[in-house]
This record gives sequence, structure tokens and C-alpha cells, in this order.
Amino acid sequence: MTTLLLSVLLAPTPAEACGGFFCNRDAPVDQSGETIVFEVDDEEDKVTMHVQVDYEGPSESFAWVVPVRGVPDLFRSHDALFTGLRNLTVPSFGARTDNTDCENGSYVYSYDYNASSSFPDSGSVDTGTLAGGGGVTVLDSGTVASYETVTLSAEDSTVLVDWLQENDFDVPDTMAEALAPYVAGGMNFVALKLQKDAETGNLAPLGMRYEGTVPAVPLTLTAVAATDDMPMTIYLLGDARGVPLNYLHVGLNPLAIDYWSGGTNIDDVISRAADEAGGQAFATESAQPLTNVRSLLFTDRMFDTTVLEGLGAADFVAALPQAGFFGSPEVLEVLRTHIPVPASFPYDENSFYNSPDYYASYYDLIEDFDAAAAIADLEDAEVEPREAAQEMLDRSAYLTRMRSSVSPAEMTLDPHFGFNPDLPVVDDLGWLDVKRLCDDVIVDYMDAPQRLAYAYGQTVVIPSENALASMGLTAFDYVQGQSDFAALFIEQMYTSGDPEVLVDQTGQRLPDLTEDTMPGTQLPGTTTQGGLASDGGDAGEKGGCGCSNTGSAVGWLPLLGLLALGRRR
Amino acid sequence: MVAGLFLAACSGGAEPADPTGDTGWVDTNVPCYPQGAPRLDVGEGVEGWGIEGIDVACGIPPQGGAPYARFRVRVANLDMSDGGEVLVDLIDTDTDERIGSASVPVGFVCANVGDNADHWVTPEVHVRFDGIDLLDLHEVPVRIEATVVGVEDSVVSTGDGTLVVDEKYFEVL
Repeated sequence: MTTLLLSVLLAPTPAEACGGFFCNRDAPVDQSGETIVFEVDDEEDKVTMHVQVDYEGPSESFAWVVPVRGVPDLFRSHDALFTGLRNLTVPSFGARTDNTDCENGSYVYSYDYNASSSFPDSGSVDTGTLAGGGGVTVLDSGTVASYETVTLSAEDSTVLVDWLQENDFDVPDTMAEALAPYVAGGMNFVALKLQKDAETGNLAPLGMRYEGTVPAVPLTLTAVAATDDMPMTIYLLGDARGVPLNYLHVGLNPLAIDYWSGGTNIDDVISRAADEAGGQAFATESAQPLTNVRSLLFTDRMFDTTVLEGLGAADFVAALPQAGFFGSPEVLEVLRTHIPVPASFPYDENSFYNSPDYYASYYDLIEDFDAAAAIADLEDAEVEPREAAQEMLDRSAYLTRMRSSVSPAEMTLDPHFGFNPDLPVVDDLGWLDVKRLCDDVIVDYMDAPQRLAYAYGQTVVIPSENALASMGLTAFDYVQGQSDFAALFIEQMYTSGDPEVLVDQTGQRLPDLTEDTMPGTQLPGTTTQGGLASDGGDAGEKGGCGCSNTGSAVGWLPLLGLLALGRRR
Repeated sequence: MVAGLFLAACSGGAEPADPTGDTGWVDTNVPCYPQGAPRLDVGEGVEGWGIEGIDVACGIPPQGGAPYARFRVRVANLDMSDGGEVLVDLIDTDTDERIGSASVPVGFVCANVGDNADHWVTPEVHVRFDGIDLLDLHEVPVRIEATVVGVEDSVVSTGDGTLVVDEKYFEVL
């Protein structure tokens, strides 16, 4: 992300060590990404938030402080929710090439890309015994998944930080300043840390249900312990399309996306687009009615714990697939608790749990295995979170996925979100269709100019593969060189009506190309229009720097034929 | 930044129209190019510009915390392509005390269409009233002092207004 000059000069110094969302005084733990699922219950005036965080640093030093209203219900979420929503909404990118007009080939090829991510999960629910004092009141405490949790109110932020430090929540002194506005506003705080015996890396997704009507992310707290360009993914479940309210919204420029590699640069495109919008903006990757998700996370027949009842340890593990349980982080956590790998076992944990029959003699070393207790923990960790998440999806009509990338210096405003029923759906940016333009003269597809048809309706003609190779360029290099902005639109969204467009780059003119840049011959059937949109003439004059043909006296052979742009947000 | 982006778009591909080598030619037709005295417009909430005689709605932000008021700013004729800082102070004119303030480094966007065309605009700026109960803000007369500091210059706008708190808060707080 762009580092603003004045940000460097004027902003508080971010993260000498760490603090805020994740923090540790001795070994920095920085938040390197977060995914949040919001659901708003208008009838009860409650917001439900599921949070999955990525981090850099030693997780055993992890602490997390979140301002909340009232005393929230805390519960364990499930990684399957995030995986399921991601699979429903993640854009797919690819290029299909049509050589049917050429003599030496007629095929279509494609790439598809789905970025992968995963996150461990674990835990159970319990009651704790933390005590207040010194201006801090303990409103609630307990354990959720592998976390120790406490909900606090405080008279001021300094005593709050003191209390957290005294109770082994590893937060820095500098956190007091960031917390002050929330204390002043009468907010309570949920503080989390890993239980002392929790395995490193067990940062489970967490659920929270609290008073409120507007989804918001306490991002300013995150600034004290976040990595640069921290990716954020926001899912909004509701009756209509979700929108950012106090952050800007960007529409991505398809020409900035590398379709040929399956869109592997999409994170960079989103980051650049947010930068072009001043650093505080979200892009909508998907916004659609939520259908066909009734069995996405849970069905009544998914699990049958009766087959596990009364079994010994080895038989219990062997029967897990029959009972519907597979190797999720949640199941693994239960196994670690009830069937720990014996110290004498010579191989790794996976070998032990994956081959209970083969290693039955080691299972015999486990004393006092309680199948009923293990089943209860499986219900808590695997079954109930899935069922609750499924119920949330079932009562939601619309799903919106927004993404951004924010650096600590840009975390000066907590983003708020709302819903706008007047906006159209957004599906992914789809495919790039590449047509090799062979004719009577050009018969080899490698020599044929290529017409690129993008999802929004832009059509661009670029040199042949051989011509590009002679220039040392790939097709994407070439396109990107002619269209180097990532945000096609920058706009302010509202809870009704159309957005207010601030920046519209559809009129951005692309430079014409000279004959020298394209060995070969006259393009068959191409237009001679330059610009990103056929209807963007005025904007093109305004926004396009007045770029015009210069350089060669050979004459102009316009190679970029740009047809109608089907505008979409 | 957008202006820089436009310039880059020119220099990265074809040359800008009518370049004259190293004579310092500048295309003044790019959006937001300074062509007069710097001007700062300040708006309250989500609609309209101008702060003289306005009612400033105060509330509790959705994520919680101290009471706040929402402002928007836009700047003309001042290069904000490298970002800047927005300062907004609300001074109780009865006591001459500063009761609310915002001081945030922000990135600006050069708008090229609509009513904001040729202005550098920002997302919302939230003024916080630390240590004051929301209901105590109702009908407090304030002087609004807004400043945008750019890399090379700054611009100021002031006005007098009145803080107002929505009835719904009186019912629940």
C-alpha cells in the first residue's frame, strides 16, 4: 500500500513491538490478515461476528482485545464456515483462447485459480475465575475453544492495560492510548489469550454476538500490531447487498488482472485499487442471493456419534469416518485431549491418528479413555458450530464478499458496513476470451493479432504471440503496460440508491500503437478507436491526460480497438 | 495518487499531447490541477457542503467508543496527491473549550466526475468527543475549525454550528 508522506510524519509510530488486536511485549505477534463474517439481526438489534485471523509470530504469546457493547455471547466458530463462504464467492479467472480461424490449431485452453487458505481451530467451553479490581470490573469469564476469555469494563484505559498485564494478557503499555476512546465511550472489552496448555498454532475462529445494528471493524486498534498491506475479507449476510459506508468502494479494472495466470495477481490489484482510493476502500468480489447452501456446512445426517459409544481408543479413532468426522483441526484438537500420542510413539502425530489399527499397541498405552467425554467434545467442537453456522446461512438471503488491503498508517478509521437493496448483483470477473485473428494472409495463430474480450465488455486487440515474444513481453505485460490503473471506479456507497461516483476511469485513453510495435500486417477487422469506453469521450479527454499519437512518422496503425464497456459495479 | 496516476498513464505509454522536451510543459487539463486559490469545503453527515449555521449530528459510532460526529472534506486547488492530514476541532463557544477533535492522516482521491469533479476528496472524518456524555452535547453551540494540511500548503475553513443529538439516544441512554 502507499505509504503517505504525511502519514510518516504525522501518524503515531506503529508497532514498535506489537499491541492492539494481537500483541505481545516480548515476542511480536502481528496480525497479518483477518476474515470477518457479519450477520445483523434487526429484530433483536444484535450483530453476530465470526472472526478468523492470520498472524505472524509465536501464537503462545497471543492476546486479543476487542471493544464490545454490553456483555457479548462468545462461542466457537468453525473453519468450515470460512472455507464454505470462500468457495461460494471466490472469483475464478482464466483465459480461453480460440484459434479456430487459424490453420494450425483450434482449441480452447483455460486456467482457473482459487486461492487457498486454511486456519486451525480447536476448543471447548468452560468457566473461569478471573477477578476484577483497581478500576476494572470483570463482567464475564470462561474459555472458548482454546482461548481464555474475559469481558471487562474499566474506568480508564491505563488501569485496563494494567489489569490485562497483571493477568498475563500480554499487551503493551502503548495500547492504553488506542483503547482510550472506547473506554471513554463506555465500551466493554473482550480479552482473549490462549490457554496455557493450548498447542501452538491453535488460533480458532471465534464467534461473538453483541448489541448493535451496524457491522463495524475496530480497525484502529489493529494498527498497533498489523503487517503492511494486511488483507481483510468481509462477508456480509443479510437481505441485500452489503456496502462499505465510511470507506470508499472500488470497482476493479479487468485489464489489471492477469487472466493468463488464473488471476494470481488479484491481491495486488485489490491493494493497488485501495491505494488509488486513498488507502481506505473495499472492492466487492461477489454479491449475490444466497441459494443452494442448505447443506453447505451441516445436515442432520452428517454425523452419527452413536457408532462411537463405548469404544476403546483405537476403535474410536478408526470409527470416526463412519461417524462423519474427518481430519479437521477441530477433530484433531479433541483427539489430542482425549487420546494424546504416547511419548514412546516413534513417529509423528498424523501417523498415529491415521493408522489406529496398525498402532493399536500404542493405543493400549492410553489409560482412562472416556468415549462419552470425547463424543461430548466432538459435539462441542465440530457438530454444534457447524449447525449454528448453517442456521445463520439458512436465514440469510444475500451474501456479499468484500476485500481490501490496509497498512497500519491507514488504519485511522473503523470501517462500517450497511446494506443497499438498490444495487445489482456482482458475480466474479469471469473469463477473458482471446480470439486469434487469422485471415488469408495470417494463417499461423502464433502470428495472429489477438482480440481480448473482457468480462465488462472491453475489447482490446494486442500483437501476436510471436510479436510479443520479440518484444520480450507476455500478453499480460503488454496489456498492463497500456492500462496501469487498478481501480476502474472509485465511489461512495450509501444504504439506498446508486453510489456517488468520484472517479471514473472508463474514459482513460489508451495510447495508440505504431506499426513498429506489431510485426505483421494490417489487423483484420479491427476498429480504430482508442479509449476504454466507446461512450467515455468526454471523460477520456478529461481523465486521459490528453494523450495523443506521437513519435513515429510512419503513420498510425491503431491496434487497440475498444468497444462498448458494459459498466457494472 | 490519482493525479500521479494520470501522469504515469501518459508517461508509461504514449507521450502527453504536445510535449516540448525539457521545457517544463505541464498538462493543466488533468483533474485537480491547482488553478487558483486553495479552497476547503466541509460537509456534515453524508450530504451537502458548508458548515456555517449547520446542525452537527452527534451519536455513538457503530463500533462503540466516545461520541462522534461525521464530517466530509474536499479540497480544490491544492496538490493532495501525496496525502495529507485533516484536522477538525469543535470548540464550545460558550466556554471556548475544545470539546471534540479529529486529527487523521488520510489519502485523498482526485474525483474526475460528478459534483466532486476536480476536487480531492476523502472518506469520512470522525470527530470524537472524548470524556463527554453524548446527551450533554445536545444543543451545544460550537465553532467548527477544519484544516487540511498538504505537503506544500494548508487550507482552513471555519463556521459556527450547533451540536444535536437524535431523540433515539434520549430514549435508550
